Amino acid sequence: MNELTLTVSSPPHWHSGQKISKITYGLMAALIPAVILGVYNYMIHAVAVISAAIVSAMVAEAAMQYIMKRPISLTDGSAALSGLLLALILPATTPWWLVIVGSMVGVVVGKQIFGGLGGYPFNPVLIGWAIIRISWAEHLNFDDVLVNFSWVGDAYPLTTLKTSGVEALNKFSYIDLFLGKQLGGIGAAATLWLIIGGLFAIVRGYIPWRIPIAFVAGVFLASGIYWLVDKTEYASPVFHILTGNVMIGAFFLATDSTTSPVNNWAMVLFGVGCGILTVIIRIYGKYPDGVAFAILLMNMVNPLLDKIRPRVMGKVSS
Amino acid sequence: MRIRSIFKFLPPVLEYNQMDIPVEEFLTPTRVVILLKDPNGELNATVAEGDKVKTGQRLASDINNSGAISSVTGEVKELSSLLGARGESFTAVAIENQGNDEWDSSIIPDKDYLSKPPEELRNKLSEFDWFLMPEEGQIDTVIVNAFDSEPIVAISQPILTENSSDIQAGLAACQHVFGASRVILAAPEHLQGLAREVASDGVTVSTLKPVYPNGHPHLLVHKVIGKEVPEGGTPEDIGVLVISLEKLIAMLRLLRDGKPQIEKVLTVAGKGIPSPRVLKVRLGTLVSDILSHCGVTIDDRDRLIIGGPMRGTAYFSSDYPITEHSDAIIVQDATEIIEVTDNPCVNCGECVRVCPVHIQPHLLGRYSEFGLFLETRRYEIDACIECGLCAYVCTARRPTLQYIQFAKDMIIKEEERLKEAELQQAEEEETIRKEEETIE
Repeated sequence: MNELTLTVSSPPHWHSGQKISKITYGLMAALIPAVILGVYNYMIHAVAVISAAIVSAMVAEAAMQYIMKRPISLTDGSAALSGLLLALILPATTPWWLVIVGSMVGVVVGKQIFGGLGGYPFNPVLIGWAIIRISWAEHLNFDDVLVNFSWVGDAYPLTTLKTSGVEALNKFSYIDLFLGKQLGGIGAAATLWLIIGGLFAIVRGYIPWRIPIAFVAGVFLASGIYWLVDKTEYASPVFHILTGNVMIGAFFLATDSTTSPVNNWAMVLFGVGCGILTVIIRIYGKYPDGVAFAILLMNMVNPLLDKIRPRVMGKVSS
Repeated sequence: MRIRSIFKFLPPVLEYNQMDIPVEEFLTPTRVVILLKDPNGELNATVAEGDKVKTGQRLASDINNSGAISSVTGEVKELSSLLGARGESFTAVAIENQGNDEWDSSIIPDKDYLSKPPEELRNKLSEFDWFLMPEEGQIDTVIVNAFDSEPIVAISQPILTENSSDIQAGLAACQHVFGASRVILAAPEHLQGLAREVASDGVTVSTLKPVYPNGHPHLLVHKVIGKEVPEGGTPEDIGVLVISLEKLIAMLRLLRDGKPQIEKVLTVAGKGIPSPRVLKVRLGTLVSDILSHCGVTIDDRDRLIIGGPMRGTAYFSSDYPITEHSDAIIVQDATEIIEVTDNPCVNCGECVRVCPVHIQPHLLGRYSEFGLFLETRRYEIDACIECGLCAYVCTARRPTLQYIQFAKDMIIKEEERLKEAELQQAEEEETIRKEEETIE
């Protein structure tokens, strides 16, 4: 008998090398184009909001884990990613304290209370956003707070649609909307740059492709039906997919793995459901944009959707 | 062998080893160790220390150890008890090899075995516990599996090349022995040419992509003849016998030459071996002897795996013998081991998309983690073929396969407990009823 101490473990003894931090850091890299456009448009204001959101999310995560005597998991990058995503859907002029409140509420109430990564039922970014959107509505009204940024755009397209109707939309060119020359969240308005980042994330396997494609298709189809019914009352589907949080929601918020389904058809239904609810909230709701609430509502049915699963090989019907 | 393109949205593909590696012989070990199963911890060998044994001689008489035979001629040096990697207890019979083989007197060749009635041949095969003999008339199709068991293992190609005449004869015997109406040789695409050479009349060759786990018996049955093995069942349940090339050769040699299997072809790979090597060794050769023959040194905290990288067993010591299931010996350096974690499942769905039988490994893992073993039945845990791909792709690096195996074990225990409780309750009700009757 030799005295070697060998490592023993259960099979398999190979691993693909994938890990949580690779995905979160990869998603942050995919958001860089949108961040760059946001900083270009709003300069130091954007930098301040993004930094405050990321730092406060990480502080909240570490503090909660310390209080709950759980291992501190800042290096997995999920808190930083939550902070970054929250910053990108906020206006650049959001007061620092409000950013911190949103970020911390998202991490504490939206995530850590449920046991951290993997346990939460709703997207923590959107929990944080929804609470500050409802409680401090005056700070998140893009038209009012971004009035000094006329070189980016003079009105938030979705508010214009809500208040002035379809004729008023003529002042927005689709090219400008597509290139991100529109008012809105720091990164959420950067349509093209989010698509580039999202495609990068899909190709690298950070997010499944079915959810974003189904999401955008859902928005396009639902708004297309309204548009075909009455073109003078409802905006065109192209306008709907180019504005608001559609792209950031489709590629980066709805695809949050914990709150989205895993089976192929369930993912398609989830995406289409988000898209349809977005259009319904935009048309009938009180708020100009419905993406965030649509995703939160679909998060609720996520476990039900995952009941739709493929037939198991060798299943004996009972 | 690990292939994943830059397009990572595609599931990873684990290919079987397609290298043609010549077989090196390592047939004269100084000692061999044969393991006898002794579930009760009692020595049950028919030989004692100091006895002379011949090649092919039985070492135990009980039914559990009908396959335990000496693979060399020599002297029994020691009988000791040994703990297996999964806590099973064995009696280890250490035999010193004297060098030249003398076959046991019980071994009688039989040249016209094909004229014997099938029952007689099957009785002869069932004297050894390597074959779970199916019942008369149960088998309709025999699939001879020319796939390796796992990636890295590269023994099918050399076996096909070196034993083509035996395989040919074995394929021809299958129909007679098992009473099967068809015999199929299932081979990976890169072995197609070799397979067609050995397939005689009446044997169909079926080829599949050399992608793990296509060689798993259940998937093979599904892909080759389109039938599904019912969950928790075996291919025999639907009239199919899946038999590996090595078993086929062993079967033929037992019927024709009367000789049981005493050799094993295996792959040695990993640390200190630039390219995998294929060795032919005696059954019972110690892993430590093979490793020193290959010039491999193991250090502290390395991982020694007997079997393949996906389903093999990590051993805590190299003083274990080779059995007929040891297709490979793999040594991983301590630095290349990716450790599992107790991270919660993040629901990324990689395991669901990679699962070859379309179960929900992430849910099974979570149920098992929180002790809800009976709930896993609702998600078809018995359909799992334990290929290990779910844990291979897991983003959170959870030991998904271990969770599933654990749940399977616990279900058996839980069901026993429930049955006992039910019996007890029935008894109690019975006594109460009797008491009531007497009162009346």
